[in-house]
Amino acid sequence: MSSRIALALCVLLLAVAPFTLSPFRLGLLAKYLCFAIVAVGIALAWGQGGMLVLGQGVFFGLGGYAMGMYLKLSEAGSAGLPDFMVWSGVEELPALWKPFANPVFALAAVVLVPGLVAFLLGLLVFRQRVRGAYFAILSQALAAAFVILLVGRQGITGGTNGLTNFSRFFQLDLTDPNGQRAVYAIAAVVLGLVYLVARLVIRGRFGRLLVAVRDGEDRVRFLGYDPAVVKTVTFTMSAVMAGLAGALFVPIVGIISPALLGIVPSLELLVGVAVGGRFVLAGAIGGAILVNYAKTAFSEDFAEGWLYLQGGLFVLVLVFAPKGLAGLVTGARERLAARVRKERVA
Amino acid sequence: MTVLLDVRGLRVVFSGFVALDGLDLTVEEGELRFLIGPNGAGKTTLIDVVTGLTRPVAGSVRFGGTELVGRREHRIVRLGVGRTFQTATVFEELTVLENLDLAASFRLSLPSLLRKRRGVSDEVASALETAELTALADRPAGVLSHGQRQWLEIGMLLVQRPRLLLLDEPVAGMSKDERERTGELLQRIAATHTVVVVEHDMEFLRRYARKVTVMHQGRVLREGSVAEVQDDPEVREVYLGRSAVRGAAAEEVS
Amino acid sequence: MEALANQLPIGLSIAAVLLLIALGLTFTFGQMGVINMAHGEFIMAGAYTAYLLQGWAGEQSFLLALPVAFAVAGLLGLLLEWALIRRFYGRPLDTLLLTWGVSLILQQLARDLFGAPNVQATAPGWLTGGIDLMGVRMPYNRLFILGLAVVCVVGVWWYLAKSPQGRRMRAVVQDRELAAYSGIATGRVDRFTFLLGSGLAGVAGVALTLVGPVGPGLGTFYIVDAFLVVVAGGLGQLRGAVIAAVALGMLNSFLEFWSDASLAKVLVFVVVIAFLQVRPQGMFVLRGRSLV
Repeated sequence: MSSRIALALCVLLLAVAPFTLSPFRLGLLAKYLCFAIVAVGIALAWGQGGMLVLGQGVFFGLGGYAMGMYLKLSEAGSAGLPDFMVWSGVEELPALWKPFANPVFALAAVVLVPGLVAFLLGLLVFRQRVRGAYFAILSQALAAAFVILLVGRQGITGGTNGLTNFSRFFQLDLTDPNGQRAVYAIAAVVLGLVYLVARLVIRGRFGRLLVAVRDGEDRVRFLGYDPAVVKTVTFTMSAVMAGLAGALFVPIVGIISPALLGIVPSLELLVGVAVGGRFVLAGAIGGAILVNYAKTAFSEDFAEGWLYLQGGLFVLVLVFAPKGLAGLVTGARERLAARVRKERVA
Repeated sequence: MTVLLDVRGLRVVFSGFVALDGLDLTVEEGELRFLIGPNGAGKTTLIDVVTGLTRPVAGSVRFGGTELVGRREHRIVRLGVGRTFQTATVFEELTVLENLDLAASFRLSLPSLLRKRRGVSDEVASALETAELTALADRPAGVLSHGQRQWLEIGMLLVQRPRLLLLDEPVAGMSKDERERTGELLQRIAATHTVVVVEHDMEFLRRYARKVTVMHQGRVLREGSVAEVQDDPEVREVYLGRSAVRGAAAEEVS
Repeated sequence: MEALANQLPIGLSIAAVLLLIALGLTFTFGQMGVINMAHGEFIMAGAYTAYLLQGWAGEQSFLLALPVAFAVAGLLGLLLEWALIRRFYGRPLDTLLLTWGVSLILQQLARDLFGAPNVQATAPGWLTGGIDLMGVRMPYNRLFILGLAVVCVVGVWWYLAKSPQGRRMRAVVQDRELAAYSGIATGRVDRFTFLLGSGLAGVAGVALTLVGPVGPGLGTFYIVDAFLVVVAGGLGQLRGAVIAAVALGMLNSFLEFWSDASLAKVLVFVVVIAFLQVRPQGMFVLRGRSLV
């Protein structure tokens, strides 16, 4: 019951935020919500499925670039070329870009491209029973390769600068506070939907199966299930969530670039989930928002301190609270319940 | 009687060690077969090969006419071969009921797996009863005792309605009382299923076995009733060893 | 064709660097199952050690830097194992994140101590220049790294196969409980394993000062490729690591030659995934009866 009240409170807070926060702060909150969407996917794959995903930046980036390409083209000048291509002397729109002029194609790509990449990788890797640390390392290597590719193909991807300078998001004016509020609202709704989907998955039989695969993949085979399918499906879901978050990140923050997607940013996405508690969806969401808030707060004053704090947070959480803040809360609640029971008996 | 499991010329080698050496074995429909043999005789390896965990170098395993060698584990389960493990492995974070429900749902499609479980199916309920775990249905399987885990695992097997059950040392480490209850459970199951049991416990064997296959060094040494096998001098020599012979002799005297 | 041939020494020296790094990982990851993300920062520590020694004792200190860096990085590893990692055995994924936290802290520490910009250690005079081998120019510094890698591989092989301490280590790897029962102090073996693995990272760091600048991000640049070497080579297998390092190093440099640096990384990744389709457990596996 108390968790329902907490949920209602969170929805309420998210609903009043646009009317109480300054546009700048609201923009920051919207950004945190994007990371929270990624966090839901990570909690699903890592917390429930035991797949340590160290390359979520890739899927975040694929969603972000798909959206960014469409937005760039929708604002392109008379030549139909994005500004950075004009500057770097590209004369004709690369073939890869052409279909992204179509909004339906771009929106579909936001979901399908990350999903497809994750599906293929998952199928190839999980079918061969590559798992645990090996999978983690492969997902990290993918992030490294992805970023190097983005930087190297300047003419197509905008190189290190990435895609930036967006003023419109479909019909919304991103320079106008109302437009920003609308984008925030979209992010909040998507987070809500993603949360509901993940909850449905976890609570259904599939969720039980996922936990079983996490705790005893080999045993699950002898129940007649193929763990590779279960893991691939879950990994794909988490990638799609990251892709959605990346697509929303573009109009909210106004940029998508390799610096946001590499090994370190991908690992940073995990910090919040670890701190909040990877086994509980609400914990992962809260942790992502909290940690990213702390990052902003620290970076404003002393940026160097943040790296110490981030590293220290990881160490502290893993040593003292492997189940994160959510684990501490449930632990305390259980101890309290035990004490109440004891007193009643006495 | 129709042949359900037909093993021919099975050979398994682990880095130089020959675990199965051209093994032949036939199990007929409706049989309760005990597999015995000293350590390293290849009993568990045989089960591993039948269920797809280990690949043989040579030989074939036909199950109801279908070749099992080369198939993946979950496919073999779907054909109707189920097994338990020496150390019962159940999913400790899931409840007893969820463990059984998961086992029972293995033929569901992916979309229907995404749906929530509603209520308890008759099958699962009866398995709960058979395994005497109804009272513990909603407790996480992690709290179960060793014996209860074995029963849960057998229950998980039953709800899958396999045509062949392979039980790997179901009473190892059990108390006398637990062994007895497992024996009764086994008899009930064997009335309606084909069962192969790997077992070390001689007393358990004497009480519940009908037909026994003795394995030695990766081959079948002898096959027959408990009495036949026990009286075989060669079996006594390689398997029972001196102390067991003395034990059997003492029993005869008493 | 000549340009292609010139890729050979580059490929070989990338391979040698990867091998030096992967050697250390063979100990910590392969033997102990610990994914030490701070391994890259131990490389960095070794490189800074060489740089600092040079400031004090001049460029001839280079050879001295090898044992000193081994000690510095080794002690850092020992400290990490003793303070944190030993609490995490059996939780490999958590160890990965834990050591990543440590690596962040070490990187920032390096930035605070030595400044964010890269510094350059000058190679000693006798390592400048090179010789022509069958028409291919082999720079001395790259030859030296190659030689160092060979020496280290032989040393590690000898240690694992022949020394009593190495035998103890293999005993612990194969059956920790049994080893403990037979009177081996497993905790001490773990610490020593970690010391060696981390020490090798320090040596790799010194080698890296010969081919590039030293900076706080030095380790992260190589660590992912080195982990790929371990994955492709097979868990805890020395010969696997050697073959995988040479294969990936050469592949990298030739792919860069045919396509470009940015595509080469993706292609290497694709090749590794493709390879895992054929050998999911890497080149060499310890065979045994695996139970569920």
